[in-house]
Amino acid sequence: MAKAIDLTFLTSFTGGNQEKKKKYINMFLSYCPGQITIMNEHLSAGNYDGLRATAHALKPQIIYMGIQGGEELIKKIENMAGTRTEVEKLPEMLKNFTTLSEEAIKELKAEVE
Amino acid sequence: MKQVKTIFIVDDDLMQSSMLQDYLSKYSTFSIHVFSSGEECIKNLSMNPDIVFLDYNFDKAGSNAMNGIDILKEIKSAKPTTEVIMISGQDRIDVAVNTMKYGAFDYIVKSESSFHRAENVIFNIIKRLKLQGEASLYKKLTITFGIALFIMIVVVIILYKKGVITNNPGWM
Repeated sequence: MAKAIDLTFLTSFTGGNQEKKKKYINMFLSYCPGQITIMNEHLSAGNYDGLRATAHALKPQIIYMGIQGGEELIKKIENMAGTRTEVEKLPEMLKNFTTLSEEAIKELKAEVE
Repeated sequence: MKQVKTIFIVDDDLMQSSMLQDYLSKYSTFSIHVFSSGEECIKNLSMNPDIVFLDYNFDKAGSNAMNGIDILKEIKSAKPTTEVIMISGQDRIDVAVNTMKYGAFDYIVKSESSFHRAENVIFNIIKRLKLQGEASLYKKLTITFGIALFIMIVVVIILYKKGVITNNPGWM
């Protein structure tokens, strides 16, 4: 099975320094799960502005952690929530994003252990 | 000549600000300060930052938090010579143009290349400051030369009127 994360950027950014790499991964691990919960809460409450803002804030970290397909998904969620277009597709997209992030989180946890 | 010494990073995304700080810390001549809100940044403007990297969105800081444009306006009003570089996850051209309208030096989209771009922007600012310093020096030299030339002409006229010098040089 293909990996959910690609740490090429992070490895290059930290110059292979494992401590720095772990520092950033831990920052992501302490931040991302809470944001996914908040995104799901916003969607359930029909708060599209909140969903857009949370997706927007999480987007760079998804890119830095190299979550495969995550950038595209979160950009779509951000845009659709922001423009209120095809909102009926948002539950499915957020579900996919949540599943993908959970897999990535598992792999990132293994990286820092 | 003005030099780049103090850099502020203002972002409520702790990972982003930490990564940018780490990336720029290879230049030991910079004194880098990180703030998680615009309010904190404005409180510390007395430190006279030469460059401010400023997030466009402060969604995480709460709905009452100042937004990037308001912070930009405050910085430029209090410290007109401070260069502000906006950083945002939005790659929309209208957002970038809007920040430039209010005096931002540049606009960087948060991505894998944003750290390298931030570094380039700093060097562009340093280059510009150097050119401004040189232009100012040339201006001073031109003025000094102009004054010297004027004094020389006045002296020649006075000497001419006193007959110390004539239209007929001695050898003719």
